[in-house]
Amino acid sequence: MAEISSDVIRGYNDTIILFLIKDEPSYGYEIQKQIRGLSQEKYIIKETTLYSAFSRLEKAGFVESFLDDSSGKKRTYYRITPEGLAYYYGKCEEWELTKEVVEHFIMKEAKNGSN
Amino acid sequence: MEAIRQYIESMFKTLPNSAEVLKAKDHLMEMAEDKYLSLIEEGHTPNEAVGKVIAEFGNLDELKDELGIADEVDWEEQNSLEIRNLSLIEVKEYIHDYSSAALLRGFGVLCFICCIMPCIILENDIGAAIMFISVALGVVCMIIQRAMKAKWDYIEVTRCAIELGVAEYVKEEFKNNKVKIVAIQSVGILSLLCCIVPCIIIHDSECAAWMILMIGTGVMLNIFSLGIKKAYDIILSINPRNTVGGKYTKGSGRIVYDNPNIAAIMSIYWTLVVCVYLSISFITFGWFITWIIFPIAAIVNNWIETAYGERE
Repeated sequence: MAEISSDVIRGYNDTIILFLIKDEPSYGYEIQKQIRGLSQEKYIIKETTLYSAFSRLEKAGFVESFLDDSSGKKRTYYRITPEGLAYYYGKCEEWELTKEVVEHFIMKEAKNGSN
Repeated sequence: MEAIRQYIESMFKTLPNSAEVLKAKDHLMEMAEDKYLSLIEEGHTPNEAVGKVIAEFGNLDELKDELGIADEVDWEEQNSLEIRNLSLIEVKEYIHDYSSAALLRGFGVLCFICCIMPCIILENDIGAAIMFISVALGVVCMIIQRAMKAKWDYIEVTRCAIELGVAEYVKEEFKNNKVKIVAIQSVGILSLLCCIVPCIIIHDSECAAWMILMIGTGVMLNIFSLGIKKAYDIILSINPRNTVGGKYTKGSGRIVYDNPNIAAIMSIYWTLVVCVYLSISFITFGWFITWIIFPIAAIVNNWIETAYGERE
């Protein structure tokens, strides 16, 4: 089975994270678990990658972090900002376009596996 | 869980002690702990859980830009082989050996100082014989204490490091033992200050013997307490100050006092000592003995530094 290349997905880590916190705030491990679950274990994001994305998004003003210990353990939660939401919608459009363009160059036979 | 903590600590050990780095470390630790606990809940064994967390953790190269640590990561790769990491057990053993060696050294000095005692008390050949035995015992103590320390000589020649957790443990231990160290030193100082007392109470030549014993004991206890203190100082200064593990490394070495009164007195301490010396000397005209104020002042100074001061 083909494995996901971290170079390719890197540009979409931000989109994935923003999607997961757009309805309600969440924290590191929860986000990591959801990515694993929703991708059916095909994409496992590393802690360092996740932290790097959080830190970049926060600097850009797309997310805000806050400490919360209501779950019994003190954790850093992330909440999306209006700018972050706008950026997310922008990225969704960009992906549709990317997908449409790249699709023209993908051989249908190869898509069904080369075995 | 401890293995994960250690793994992350050792990754960060040589990075600068900056706010960004500490924040990243705490956050990564938080995520790794969450993951570990959840894996345990799912029924993995602790070993499997640790393995999985570490395998999926990633590496710090990815965080270079976020932390502004590009240079340090390269630096770590180049030098990591040369740094010898001391474990908690080694550190404990080192402090134990170093303190014991200090006690033995102190006892050796006591033997040298007191060797004259039997001659004064017994005033015969047996006294002289005991004197030589005492000197020999002193020499043996000196040789053994040197051998005890020799095992650890590499700490001074090789580049060593300890993890932040170990540094924190040692700092805590030092705090707990501070009372003990100060008490030993206080008894030592008291013994030196009171050495004149036997000569006031006893009026024959034996008084000199007791005076010597008190001086010897005082010197021994001072050597012992300073030795323990130095062992902790050496361990706590082992990490470079600008790294995460170097949180407790001494800076300028300047001593600061929390208590403002003590701080005020200590800022003019030596001026004060000179004033006292001159006043007493002019009043009593006992110049031949008043110089004793200076060695006493030096010991008291050291004692105040240990009891109330905190190195920067």
